[in-house]
Amino acid sequence: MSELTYREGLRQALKEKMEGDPRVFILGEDVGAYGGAYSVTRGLQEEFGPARVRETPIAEAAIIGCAVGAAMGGMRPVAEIMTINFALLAFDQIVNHAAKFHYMFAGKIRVPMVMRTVSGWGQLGATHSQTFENWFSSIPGLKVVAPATPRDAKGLLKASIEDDDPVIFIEHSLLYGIRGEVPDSDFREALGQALVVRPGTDLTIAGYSRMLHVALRAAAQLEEQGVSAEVIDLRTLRPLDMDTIYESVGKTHRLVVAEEDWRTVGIGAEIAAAVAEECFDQLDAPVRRVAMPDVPMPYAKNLELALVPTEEEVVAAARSTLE
Amino acid sequence: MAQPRSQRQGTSPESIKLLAYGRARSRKAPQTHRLLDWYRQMYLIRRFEEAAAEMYALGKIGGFLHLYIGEEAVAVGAMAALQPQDHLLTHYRDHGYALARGSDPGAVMAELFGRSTGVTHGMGGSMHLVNAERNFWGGHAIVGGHIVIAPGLALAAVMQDEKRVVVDVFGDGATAIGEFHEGVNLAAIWNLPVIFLVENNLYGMGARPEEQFKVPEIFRRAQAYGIPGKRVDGMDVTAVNRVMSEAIERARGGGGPMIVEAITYRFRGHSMADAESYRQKAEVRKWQKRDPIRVLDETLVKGGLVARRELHEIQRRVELQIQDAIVFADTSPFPSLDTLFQNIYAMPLPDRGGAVSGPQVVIPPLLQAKAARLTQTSEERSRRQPALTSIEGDSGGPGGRPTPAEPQGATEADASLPDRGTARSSRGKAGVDSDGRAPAESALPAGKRPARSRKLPQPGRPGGRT
Repeated sequence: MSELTYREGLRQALKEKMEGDPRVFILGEDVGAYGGAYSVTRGLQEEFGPARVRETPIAEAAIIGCAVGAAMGGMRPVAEIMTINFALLAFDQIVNHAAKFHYMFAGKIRVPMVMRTVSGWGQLGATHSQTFENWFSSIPGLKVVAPATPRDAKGLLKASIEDDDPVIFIEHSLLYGIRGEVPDSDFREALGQALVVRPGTDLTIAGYSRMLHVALRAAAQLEEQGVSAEVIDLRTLRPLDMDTIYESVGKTHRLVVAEEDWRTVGIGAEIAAAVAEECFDQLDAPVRRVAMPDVPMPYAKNLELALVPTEEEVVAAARSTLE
Repeated sequence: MAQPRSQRQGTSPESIKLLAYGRARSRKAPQTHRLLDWYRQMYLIRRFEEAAAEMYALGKIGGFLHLYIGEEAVAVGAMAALQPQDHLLTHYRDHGYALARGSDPGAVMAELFGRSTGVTHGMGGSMHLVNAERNFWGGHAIVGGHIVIAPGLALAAVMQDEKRVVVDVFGDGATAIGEFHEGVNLAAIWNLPVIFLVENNLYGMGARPEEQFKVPEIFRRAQAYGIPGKRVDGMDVTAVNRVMSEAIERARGGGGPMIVEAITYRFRGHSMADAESYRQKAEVRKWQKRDPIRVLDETLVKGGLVARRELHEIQRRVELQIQDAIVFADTSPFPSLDTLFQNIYAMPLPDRGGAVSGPQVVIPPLLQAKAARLTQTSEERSRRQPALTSIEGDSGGPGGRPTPAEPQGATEADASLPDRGTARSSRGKAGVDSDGRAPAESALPAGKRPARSRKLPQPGRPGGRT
């Protein structure tokens, strides 16, 4: 084991995959000499050269389209979209092209590519503080991954690069500096599997990405109040590992979903609906969602922080299921 | 909004500055056998499309149907310039490209019919044809979407040291889309082997280039990307082939991308739903005098290269091929329910109760019953109205030796192209087989092509409308 940051975990995954597989290459805006807007690819162009760490123009449709084409042609591209907000400029390529080809062309085309991108906020205003994992997660043909820890950042990215389908890999700008234990071995974390990261008996909190850490802090507070919360890291958002949630709800009979996307038609809405359909009888209380209120993000720091869900809201939601 | 017809100026062949066509380096004329093969391919595409229109009218084909009639010389000339290893991406007007790249007309027609024997087993339809063995990676139906994918395919070839060139085909309308700029720019800065072949048929649905572009000469835009651009007469298969051959070999040699603009004209509407309110019939008639099949016909016959009967023989064989294709499509099974959940993912994940990931999904009984009902309805409807009427006194029944049909052009005058011969419609002629059996009832051994037992409606005037 070594202690790495989330960013270092990602960089190691890229480096190790590029060393081991000549088909893997990186493309995106400022991924070269600049080192990536969040410094994930720093040093990689020096090591692998400009042909394998390819600087692109500011042209998101071309970045994703080129990755789709290269994947069709036998490569394993990792395309970086500077932030998830800019992915909207490539939505046609992601939804109408990457997600459709394997099915529409009867399995004759494969699109083994990864789109790495970043959610997050920090006084960036309405257009730069969004997250769209729920949009991507509603598209058949895509896989959607959102790691919360350095270990998963590395293990899930390697698994995503080795996957034969288009994977939307959503990082979080406020997690790049967090540290955690990462195995020194050549390990993978499987896509499509959630993880119980803290066992508990009284209620279940399901979260992902930054909200997993919020959920864990909330669970610690709840423990001080004598409440035992089980915390699940969803890790993959499409396909969702509902079995792990059903199993946990079967034990605790109470569920809170913690997410950073807008509440309406969010990941939590999907989970709550599935739980209502599949294990309604197991519930002792309504499912609660802690999500971003349906408001475009303001710039002013006090207002922004007022919107972002914190452990305070998670604890309150958890307590409401126990009343 | 489109102007009323009377207020709009026609776009006649003369109004397109032919002098703007790039002058190809002089090469010796193609050999006669190549010209004959191109004639065969163009005639095949023409008749395939005419038959598809008939099948659409019969309800055998659904959705959108975009015919390639009038534009055949572009696909045939361009495809003849490709090597087998080269990649092809096209727009949704893709039947001609699929055929010119060597796809089986039966499998293409079956796809249009939405049958399991189609090129994508009924998943893609008319606009999404594919042929992996021939490196044809799709008709693409989002206008301009594939213009950014072509550089990626080319990059993969370069990174793997393969001498492949990518030909990416789209229409004039697609050059207004942002992806055109992004894709051409990327190919240019990375010097990728991509030929952007613009089929300028003078209408983006109903909008003329002058309505869409301040610079309607699309090839001139290449200058802005620092790459060559060339215009070619898209009604002349030899000219298309020459310009495309030069462009492709230049790219193969490391010369980088190029824009080739082929000026062409579709004789039919944008799709089957198009009432063509945006152009006058006289304009269409003017362009039909430059029908690409007629142009080549004149080169071959008036040029003294072949006797007319050789073209008749080609036409006769094509008619049989088209009949075969229709019967094959019409007697092919509809896709089964178990294909519905296949190929959503290349690497399905274990089912953990979330979204559908792969074929291991449990199909709900209600969906199963609904699908079975719909399949039965489709099959019954298909049996009730077979695609082709029977040939009277047909000696070649199902499984028997096919009877060669008479040449469709009965006299030399009838067959010379275009504007001669009689246009006939076959609508309402559908019936049952000579032995009274509907075609779908004849149990076909797996892999066996149905025998030719039905007669295709008389062809419309090549270069004209049926």
